Amino acid sequence: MKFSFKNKRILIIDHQKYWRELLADTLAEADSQVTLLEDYDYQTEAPYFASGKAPDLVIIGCVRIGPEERELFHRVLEDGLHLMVFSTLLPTDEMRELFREGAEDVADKTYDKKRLVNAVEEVFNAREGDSYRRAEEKGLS
Amino acid sequence: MNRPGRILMVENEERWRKLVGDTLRSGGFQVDTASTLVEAEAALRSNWYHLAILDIRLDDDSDDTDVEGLKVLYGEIVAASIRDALMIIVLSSFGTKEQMRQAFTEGKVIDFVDKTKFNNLHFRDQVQQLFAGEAHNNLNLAIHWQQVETPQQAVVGLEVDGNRVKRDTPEQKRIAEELDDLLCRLFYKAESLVVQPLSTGKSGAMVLLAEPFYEAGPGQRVVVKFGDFRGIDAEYRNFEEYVQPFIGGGRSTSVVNLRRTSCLGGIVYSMLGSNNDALESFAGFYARADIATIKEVLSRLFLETCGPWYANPSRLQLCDLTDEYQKLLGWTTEKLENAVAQGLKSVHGKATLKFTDLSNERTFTNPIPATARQKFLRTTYQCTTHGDLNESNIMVDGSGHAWLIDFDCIGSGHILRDVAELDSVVRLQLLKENECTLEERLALEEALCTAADFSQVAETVFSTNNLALTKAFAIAVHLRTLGYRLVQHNPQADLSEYHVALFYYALNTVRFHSLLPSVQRQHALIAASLLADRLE
Repeated sequence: MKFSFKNKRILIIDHQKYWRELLADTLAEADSQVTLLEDYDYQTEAPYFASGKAPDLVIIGCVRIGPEERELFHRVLEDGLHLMVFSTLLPTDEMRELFREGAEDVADKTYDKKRLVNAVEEVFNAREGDSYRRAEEKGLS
Repeated sequence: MNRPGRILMVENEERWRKLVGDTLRSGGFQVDTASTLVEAEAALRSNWYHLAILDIRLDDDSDDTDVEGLKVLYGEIVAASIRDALMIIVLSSFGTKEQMRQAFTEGKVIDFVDKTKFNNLHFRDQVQQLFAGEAHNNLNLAIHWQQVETPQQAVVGLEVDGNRVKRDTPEQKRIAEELDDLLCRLFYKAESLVVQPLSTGKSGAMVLLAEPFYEAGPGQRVVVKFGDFRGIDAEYRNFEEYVQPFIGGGRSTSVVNLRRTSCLGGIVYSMLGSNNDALESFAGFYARADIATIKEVLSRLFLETCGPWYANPSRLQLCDLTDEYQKLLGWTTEKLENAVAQGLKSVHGKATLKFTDLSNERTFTNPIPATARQKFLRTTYQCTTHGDLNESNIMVDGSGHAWLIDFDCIGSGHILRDVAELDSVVRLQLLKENECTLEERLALEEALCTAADFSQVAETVFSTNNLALTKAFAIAVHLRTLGYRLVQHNPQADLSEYHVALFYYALNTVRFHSLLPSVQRQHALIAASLLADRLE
């Protein structure tokens, strides 16, 4: 049985309004609580996350991965959040580095609703592994 | 103690196998190699590793469709679900972006290295850093075994993949190695570890008492349960579902680590807040403690530690106790008849039984055929129960508090099943072989059977000069009064539902050929016979 991302809190960050809203609308149809941000500002968002409302997943969309994006990824990962990245121009070296640093998924940016939803759903499915993996996710080991 | 990191390299080209293999060996690693899918699968089945390095193309480097290495990953490793026991690096000249993405997301690989940018010394450093950090495995952990000399002795009787580990077999050697590695994973932050076996579970898993020592000093003693990784996985799921949300009050067992190797899983239970200098199993505690102290511990166990389970029963309902206990204990009439025929040579008869160890000619109803077609239905409660509340699964600390371990069988069940199981364990197992005769055991059971309902249990009388019998009787009566408290709101509560549970646990005890001496199994058969007469 596939795990649903219903009732999950998802934060979408992208400068491109169209893509933010496309993904948000698609996920909202599945009852996800979606928050949209043009950018991620730690000072503004930290109290929100600290109040126990941290998103279950942060999805960042971008055209290419430059210094600004890298800085953003690091801040999200350092805050202990789950990160998924969609990038239009995605060299394999960048993809590898992001996975090595802890991103849950890194993929070519798509505007295909079905592919977007499948990718997000797979991230949540992967977290529902056996106990050993979940224990690792929870930081037990 | 410095154990080598164990690496399997799967690569079709000999020069790469040699380059990478020699480089890693020079860094102190133990490296096995495989050049084909078949060899890789065989190596993963017959051996255990910390790290697998996989090439993508194993047949033909010029063939774009050759993904044999990824078949190892998604076939043998993911499908056989050993990826949580094994770190994986893909090393290839031909990886596509989608293959990389899939390897990281589905295959959970640690890295995906491009061969065209490969530097052997840099790669060796990377692997060394992996073992020193991300692997969370202290291969230098000094493990000091107590009561046994080696882990080989500690794994005899363990059930792995449906088979018990036997002495002097290749399985014993492998599982002992994996146990050693499991402890290195579970206590990767420690410098040394003192460990001693506590018990062998009837479920095929085992329990250790472990005391880790860190750079800053000694850590808290903890209990480690280990066994087949699937069983430990189920146990952790039960812990999350039934224990964490309910068992509290500052006396709750908590899980502090969970890891696995290829075959084994291990779970570290902490009794935070316990006076654990004197942590011991209930069996040891029962043997040395006086009656009043044991009663106090049991009252706390059922009314405080497990209280939240029993305080949240279902509505009253008609329950098929026969079906429930037979399923729980997994026995059939045939198995029981064999257990008596093969394991109790001093018992004779078919419909009625004679015990040659009794000095008189008294005969007893054979409880197996007498109840074979009976269904015991009772109006009672179901609630969350431990499901295997035996002498090994309860730990008692120095301040007299009980702590539960082993949540393999936890789930909804007859509200009295935990009390009845422990009552059976006290009378049929903790009353040791040489502590009393079969005749004295018969007298004990007859005394306990005189109570017609729960309200009469506390007034039951039994006279003996035998201290072990006195203790067993007093504790059995105390457990029955605790059982009464669990069902006292049931207007139809009667002692017979407790007797049904005792009856099935007694019959189940008859099956423990290899674990219990004959006199204890005969005691169990007599108890079942007397209970069968009461239940008719």
